[in-house]
This record gives sequence, structure tokens and C-alpha cells, in this order.
Amino acid sequence: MAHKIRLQSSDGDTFDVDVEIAKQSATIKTMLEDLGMEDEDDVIPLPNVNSAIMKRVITWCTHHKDDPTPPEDDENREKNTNDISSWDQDFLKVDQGTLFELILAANYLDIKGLLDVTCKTVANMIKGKTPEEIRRTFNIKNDFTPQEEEQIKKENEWCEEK
Amino acid sequence: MAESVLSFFELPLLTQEKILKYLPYSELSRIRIVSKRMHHLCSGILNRSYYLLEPFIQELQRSIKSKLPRRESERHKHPLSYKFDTISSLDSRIQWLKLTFNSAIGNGLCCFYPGKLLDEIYIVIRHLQLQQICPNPRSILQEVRDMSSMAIEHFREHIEPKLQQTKLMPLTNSLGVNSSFSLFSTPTSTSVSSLRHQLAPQLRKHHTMLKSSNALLREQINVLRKSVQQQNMLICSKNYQLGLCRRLLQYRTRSVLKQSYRIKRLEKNLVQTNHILNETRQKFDQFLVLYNSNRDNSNSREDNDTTANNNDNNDNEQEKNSITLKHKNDDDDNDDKTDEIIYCSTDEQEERRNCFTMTKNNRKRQKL
Repeated sequence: MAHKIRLQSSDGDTFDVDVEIAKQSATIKTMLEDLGMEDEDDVIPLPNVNSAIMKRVITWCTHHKDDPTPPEDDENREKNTNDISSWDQDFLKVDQGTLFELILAANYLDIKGLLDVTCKTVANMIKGKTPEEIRRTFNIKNDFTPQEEEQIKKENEWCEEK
Repeated sequence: MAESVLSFFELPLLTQEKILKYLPYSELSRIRIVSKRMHHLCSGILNRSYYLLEPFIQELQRSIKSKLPRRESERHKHPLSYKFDTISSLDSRIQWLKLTFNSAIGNGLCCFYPGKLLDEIYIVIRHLQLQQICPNPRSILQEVRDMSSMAIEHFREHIEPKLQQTKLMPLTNSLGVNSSFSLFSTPTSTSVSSLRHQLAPQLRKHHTMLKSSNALLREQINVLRKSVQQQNMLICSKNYQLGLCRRLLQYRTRSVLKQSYRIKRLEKNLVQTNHILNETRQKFDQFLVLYNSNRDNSNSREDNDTTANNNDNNDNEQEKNSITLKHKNDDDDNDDKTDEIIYCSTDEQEERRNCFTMTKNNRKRQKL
């Protein structure tokens, strides 16, 4: 007997979700437990998430409902971006705008697993690219003067073999 | 690309740093050149990780030392002695790096750009934290030794002299620690603080140009706070107006009630007046009937009298008719006398019942 709660997106659409799936979001968990909304049939408003992103977030949470709690971030942790599961990789084969919207939603809803995997995906989009490719990918303008660029290039030559 | 697609720099600042922290420090050093904002972010992460080295190493040194015997002679035989030697060597390397780079980094002239060296140092620290044995202890620090020497030599030969000459736009943040560009006007400048004061407008301009997410959010919060205050004031004024309208409504309601009560009283008075008027009219009818009957009787007695009596009778009849007519609200203008009587009758009819009674008595006297 799964107890369901209703989540309302910024567009006004409501979604019925199992409580245990929704509680992957620390934000929703706090609303339910600390604010005493658990026993009510009220709709939980989530004004920072639109319907399309809400659907995707619910899909991700439903798939990952049995995942163990992710460990806390360690400052000295090994930086590994190769451990994204194939399901997550397919799930995150979306346009850049949707990916960033998912990051914002995961940040707002405080879903650590989704935030980690989306940030790793963006990091993989940066890794290995030349600066010009990174600028094209993220539509970033190069606002350095030639002298400033020269200085940075000079600094980065410290480990180049001559 | 979509029209309103989020850009990387529109994400929250902590999220931007979270993404970049998944990249090795060598990558961060390499991608600094993408844009000034990227440079600012990457420099911040590089400098913070560099400054965290010393406390990390000291903490590790303490924990390793606590596991070793206190006697120096026995320490050399312990399996963990290699760790202690490694961490001590690493500490001395860090001190050398501090001597070389700290001044430039602290003054905001550059960041700790040897990212590959940072990666290597953290690999050694992780090894010392997690691994228990090492087959070749001397090789652990070899890479760090080589890289740190290269970095220090390169900095002293190529970078430090140019930091004195190059005039670059600053990228200082509020702490002034994570800045990455130098700012020199003349080689003879002695203090960076005076240079900063000279170029404060440019610094301010760049600060506004860059605008971290926190500053943007603070501005948005201030704007929202002001609008909330305005809304609150508007609500207060509307509440006051509402109170005024309520009081006015109550007053008007009371007035309307009073008016309706007054109307009822007047209606009641009107009903009473009509009732009195009807009674008066009935009495007047009775009087007329009586008068006419008396008149008939007197006429029959005076049949044998002179015609003057007949004239009087005619007059009286006319008077009677006029009165009757008048009672029926018809005017008879044949006789002045009748008119007078009518006039008198009309006048008295307009008065109350007492006046009319007096008139009735007058007529009786006339008849007699």
C-alpha cells in the first residue's frame, strides 16, 4: 500500500508520486516531515520546476528508488566521471538547455544523486575539449585581451617538455 | 540552439564549482583561457585546493606520527616509517612552493596554475591515507619532486619578471585571495595597494562586469524586499480605506434604518389621519342627512308662508346643494352667498374636526 502525494509544477500540473520516491528529494522530505504535510491531501507546490522537467525528475527518481544513500562529498575524493550508468547516460542524452534545467531542479529539490550525475555529464562535456570547442559548446564569449591570453599560455608552459 | 537556453554561467555558483570540481586540476588550469569568468572560477578552485594542502599534510603527519613509536630508533624499523618520511618530504616541498608562489597569489598577481602538480600531490596524500604498504617508497614522491622543481624554476624565470611588467585587468573577488591577474602601471611601483587604488574604477568596472551569482541573487533579493515593502504599504492603505468604507457603510445603514422607521411612523400617522378624515366625513354626512331632514320639516311647516321663505328655502337648498356638491367636490358658482358659504365650508373643512363642529353649530343657529 503505497502512500501517494501530489506534487504541483510551476505550470499547474499535478503529479501523483509515491512518498518513498518523492523523499529522495531532501526538500520534499523536509516539507513532509518537518512541516507536517505528510498526513494531508494537500498538493505540494514546486514553483521552480516546470512540468516537462518534473516528469523527467520523477522518472529518474522512480528508477533510482532502491539506490543506497550517496556518501557525502569529500574534498579530497578521487575525481571520477566514468562511473555514470548506461541508463543514466541514455536518460541524460538531452539538449543542453534541458540538462541545465535538470541541474537546477536537482539543486532546488536537493536530489544528490541526480545532481551528481548531471554535473558529471557536464564535466564530461568539458573534459578533453580545446578552449575554442568549449566556447562553442557553451556559447561563451572570449573576453581576454591578447596580452592576457599570452600570460595564461605562458603560465601553462611550465610543464611542457622542450 | 533554443532562444532562452540556460547558459553555464547562469547556474548557481556552487553548482558551477561542483561541475568543475569533477575535472582534474590540470584541466582546470588548461581551461582558464576560455573566458575571464571561467578563469575566475578555475583560479578560485586551484587556489583553495593549494591553500588546503598545508592543513591536510599537517593533519596527516600528526595521525601518522601518532601511530609510530615515540622512540626515534624504533621508528625507523616500523612499517609505517616510509609514510612518515614521505609526508615530511612532502611538507618541505610545500614550504618551498609557499615561499615561491604565496606572495604572488596573496597579492592577486596570479593563481596557483600548476594544476598537474596539485593532482600529483593529492594522489600522494590519498595513497598515504588509504594504502598501508608500498613496494617502492622512494618512487611515490619522485613525480612531485620533479614537478615542483619545474614549476618553481619556470615561475622564477618566466612568470615573476613579467608580473612586474605586464599590465593586465584584475579579477579580484571580495576576499582578494582568489584573484588571478596582475595589475602594474609602472615598474617603479612599490606597493600593490596604491596601484589598486589608482585603478579602482577599472576594478569596480570589472567587478560589475563579472557579477558573481551571489551578488546577483543579493540584488534580486533586495529588489524583491523593496517590492514586498511597497506591497505591504499598499495593503496597509487599502486596509485603512476598507475600514473607512466599512464605517461609512455602517453609518449609512443606520441612516437608512432610521429613515425606514420614520417612514413607517409617517405611514401610521397617515393611516390614522385618513381614519379621522373618514370619521369626519361620516359625521358630516350624518349632519347633512339631519340637516336636510330638519330642513324638509321646516319647509313643510312654512309652506303657507310668504315666498321669501321659499327664496330662503331656495337659498338654503342651494346652500345645501352647494354644500352637498362641495362635499362631492364640485363647485357651484351661482350665488355669491353660496360661494361664501362654500368658501367658509371649505376653509373649515380644511381645519380639524373641532372647527367643523363650530360651523355646524353656526348653521343650526341660522336655521333657527
